[in-house]
Amino acid sequence: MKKINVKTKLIIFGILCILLLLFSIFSSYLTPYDPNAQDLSMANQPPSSEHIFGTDRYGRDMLSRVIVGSQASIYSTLLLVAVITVFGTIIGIVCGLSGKVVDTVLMRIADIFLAFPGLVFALAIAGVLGGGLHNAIIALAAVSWPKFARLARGQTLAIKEEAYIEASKLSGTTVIVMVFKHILPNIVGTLLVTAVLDIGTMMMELAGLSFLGLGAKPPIAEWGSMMSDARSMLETQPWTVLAPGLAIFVSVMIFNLFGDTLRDFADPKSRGRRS
Amino acid sequence: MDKVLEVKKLNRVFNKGKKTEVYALHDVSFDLDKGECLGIIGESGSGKSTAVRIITRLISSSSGEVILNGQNIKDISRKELYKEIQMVFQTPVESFNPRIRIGKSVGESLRNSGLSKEETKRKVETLLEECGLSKEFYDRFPHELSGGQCQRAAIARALAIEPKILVCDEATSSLDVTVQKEIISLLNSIRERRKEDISIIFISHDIALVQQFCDKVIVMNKGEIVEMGETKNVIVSPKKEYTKKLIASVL
Repeated sequence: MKKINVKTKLIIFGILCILLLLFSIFSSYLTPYDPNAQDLSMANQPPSSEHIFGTDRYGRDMLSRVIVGSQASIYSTLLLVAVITVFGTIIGIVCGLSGKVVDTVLMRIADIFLAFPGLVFALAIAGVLGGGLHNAIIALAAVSWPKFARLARGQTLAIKEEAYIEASKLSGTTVIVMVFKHILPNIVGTLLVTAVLDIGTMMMELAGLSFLGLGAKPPIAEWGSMMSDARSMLETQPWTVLAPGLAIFVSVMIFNLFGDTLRDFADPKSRGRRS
Repeated sequence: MDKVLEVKKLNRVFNKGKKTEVYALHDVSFDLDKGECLGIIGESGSGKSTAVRIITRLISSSSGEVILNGQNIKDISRKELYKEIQMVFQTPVESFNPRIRIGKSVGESLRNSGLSKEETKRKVETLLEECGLSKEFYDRFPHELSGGQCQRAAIARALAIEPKILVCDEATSSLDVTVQKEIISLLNSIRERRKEDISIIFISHDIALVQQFCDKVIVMNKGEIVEMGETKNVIVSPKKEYTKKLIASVL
């Protein structure tokens, strides 16, 4: 069978990602029913031609809730990934460029965050902050930034030694200009690939926090909290859990495939090698 | 002759463990006159590059002074220092940001000194032509140039701000013999054109090249100056045993 080349795969998965984003942006226009409209006479209906994913315990259309849920799930995941990427990169570059003291202090702080199991630590932070989607994002951001900080630091330290950085210093370029002109453009590829690869993981972790009641609050439709609401009905009305679960599975898969392909495209050496 | 640079008792010490001190440079002193070309030779690890990296303030010294036009370089801002001293690196391609077009890299110091975009472009194109590269090279990326072409562009970049001192740190080492010759004749033509306005510190392993190009030469070993003097005297009739061995090993 003919192998699809990386560029074609990148275009396919890129288009799928864009479609997923457009789908989440315009989700409120795509729902067949009002996702929050309750109709107890229609509660717990199995999938049918009228309600493709069935209805939940309040008679709300599951398909509409899954469609609208994409907004909260994808928005919060992308926001989280953006926050940790930007924050981690800033810290990493500061560490890479500054002296030993600043570097040591910031990296030891990062080590403290890395010393705890991420999700458990995030649970503790979210518990202290209280539930809600934004608090869940803060909690996960607090435990996830060190990865990007370490990556950006390593890349900055490597690039700092390059002859073109020294040549730029000799041209009288200031540190800030150096960062934006010479350092960031040369490390952004690696950081971007890592960020895209992290979208899937972060979506799962956010859904995990929501599942444990520390994410989106009812009646906001969010895939993790929808699964949490319906978990007691897994045996009797499994569609109420499977529908949002399927949405998480598909989205995570699309983002992961896009991330993998982007990595292969950016680094041809990693093609055909899976970690 | 007027001195443009005075290096006085320069030391650079690395602490290996808590008690052992390793001298990368030990009491290195020399002068550079206006319009002069000073060669520095020595085996790898002899401290040649360390000395010029201190002079250009890319690293700091442990002790000693570098006086530029009568002023300690520590008392001059980097911006002012780099108007006076520029450097050409050993690795021509790697000395350019792979994501930035050659013209932009060559004109970086001009832009930093406040020159307008149009003025910078015009000056860079003239400089590239002076260094044997056509205007078309302005829009090329470093990977689209050969090593020799990159080194010409690097020389153009170093000359852009019209420095008084040009440091060539093994600038010909990674190039093949014919390209080395071209770079040397380019440097010669720059010397002829700028006369007293430019002094050159030329670091090389290639003693024949130094003999052909430099007025004075310094021989270094283990961070110390072994011998120093007129090139013809040092290379034709060396006094120190180390210099004799070094010359015998390559000539």
